[in-house]
Amino acid sequence: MSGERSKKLPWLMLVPAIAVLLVLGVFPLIYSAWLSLHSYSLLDPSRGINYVGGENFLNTLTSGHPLGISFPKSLWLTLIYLGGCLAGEVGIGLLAAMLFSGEHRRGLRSLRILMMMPMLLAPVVVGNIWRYMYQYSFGLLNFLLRTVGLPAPEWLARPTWAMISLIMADVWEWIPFSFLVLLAAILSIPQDQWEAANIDGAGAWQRFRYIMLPWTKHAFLVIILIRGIDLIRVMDLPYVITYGGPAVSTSVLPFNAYMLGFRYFEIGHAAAYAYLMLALINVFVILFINVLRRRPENA
Amino acid sequence: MHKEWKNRVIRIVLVLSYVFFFAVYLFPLAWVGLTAVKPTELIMSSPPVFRFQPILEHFIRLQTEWKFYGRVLNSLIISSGTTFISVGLGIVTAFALSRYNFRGKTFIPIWFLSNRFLPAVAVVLPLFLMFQKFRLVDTYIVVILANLIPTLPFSIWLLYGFLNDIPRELDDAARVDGCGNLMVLWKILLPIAAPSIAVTAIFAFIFSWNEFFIPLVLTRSRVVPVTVAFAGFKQQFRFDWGGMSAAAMVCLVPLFLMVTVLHKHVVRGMTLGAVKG
Repeated sequence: MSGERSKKLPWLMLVPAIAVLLVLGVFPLIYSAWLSLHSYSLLDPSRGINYVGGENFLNTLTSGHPLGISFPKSLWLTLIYLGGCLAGEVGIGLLAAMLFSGEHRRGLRSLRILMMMPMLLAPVVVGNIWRYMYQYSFGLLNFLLRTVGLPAPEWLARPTWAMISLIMADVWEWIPFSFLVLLAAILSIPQDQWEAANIDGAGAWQRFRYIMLPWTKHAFLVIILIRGIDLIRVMDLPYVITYGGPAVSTSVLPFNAYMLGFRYFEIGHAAAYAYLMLALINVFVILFINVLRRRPENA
Repeated sequence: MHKEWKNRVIRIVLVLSYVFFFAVYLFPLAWVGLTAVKPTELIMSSPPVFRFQPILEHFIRLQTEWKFYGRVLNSLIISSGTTFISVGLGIVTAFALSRYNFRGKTFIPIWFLSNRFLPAVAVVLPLFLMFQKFRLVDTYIVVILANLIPTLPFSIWLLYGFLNDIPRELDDAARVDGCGNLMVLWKILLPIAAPSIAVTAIFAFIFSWNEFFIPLVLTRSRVVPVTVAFAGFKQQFRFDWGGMSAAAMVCLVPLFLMVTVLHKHVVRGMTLGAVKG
């Protein structure tokens, strides 16, 4: 391998992909930054593109734009959505993984294939399936609730229930993800750990706290990081199931950004919104990495 | 004797709980599958009807009323294009990342990956403005290219992990035999990594197939893919549950075939290689 050539060759191979992502990712991002400082409405192009400084950002913080919900309020909704989904996914995923990591799991392999379907289905399809389940008069959920004698809520017509509906659908879609990741982690715990615990006479809680948690920590972090970022940035389920409603009770951030840009055609506002979301994702990741650093062992 | 009996009971309880878990969990899919073949007049009946003469009318209406299978074809074209480009570029890029030393060797892979996590609006909004100026909105090529934003970083990252798993001793052995660097990639790594490349391609395909926001913005009528058509059920066909269910089943079939091939690698693919599964 000659020195000069071997320095250039890797870059020759990297450049195409870097170029593609610069053109399709980084350049639009810079363009967005510029747009976020300008007022630009596609509905009234005659007004042109005018520099307005931080006005777009200020407007998103109050309600000075057509959404009817301010950024802080929407952020709050997004955090509720995020928290509910993560809690449900991690909680149920962990329970299922513990249940299925037992010794009696013959036949699991074939069932596992079936179990993966929800997370590989398009979120838009999942959303419609659940919109069907949530129908008030003939929806399956309400039929089951009425059969056991419980009151049947108007899932999609009440603000709180609408948020719960969104969370339930998302949890359903992503349980397989946390389940499979945690199952892989649990099955990778060396057998001697459990044997040592047996010898020490450790109880169920101690096994969970001192063996299960430390050994699956990495898996938890992967789940929370990947799902967390996607919950902040993806609007598929809210768009399909509730369309932000009723009123603005499920208008999470990515949905609002879409509405601003492609329903109201307020390009400047939408770009500002997008940048606030980008900042939020960065804060989430940085916080997350700091938490990681602060508690290196026995989390 | 007593202990064996107790074990058996435990086993039966466990198996029952597994079955219960799966039955409850997968019931929505079964329910939608049932609705797909249910006569329209029975769909909205309450209490729900479980016994009826199954029909295929909804699957036929998918084409006559909504031209749904045309959308399926659009999705196939777009996803194939995106998959082809991202896996092709991905292999070359991942090879360079995995097998060479250069400045930024730790930073560049992470930069690639970070593109996967951009909020779509921030990127697609300017793309929309640019493509609109050149009258390129609603063409295959634009959607294929835009779909690369999440899919290419994903493919690079996953292939990078797969190539890193292949021991370098193999490369060295080939070099001793007089292979150049690209020969090593072509003759040694590609054949070994072929199953991993297939896995990456299937994932790239599924993610591209499932992409909603990008085509929602960048298509109008001609090249609308399945996902966007599906969300359209909301506005135009709000209450056509039979059609919706039939369409969901159509989406499920290719997925099921892929997953049966893929099931060992699902964890690795979905976690971007962070968990080897």
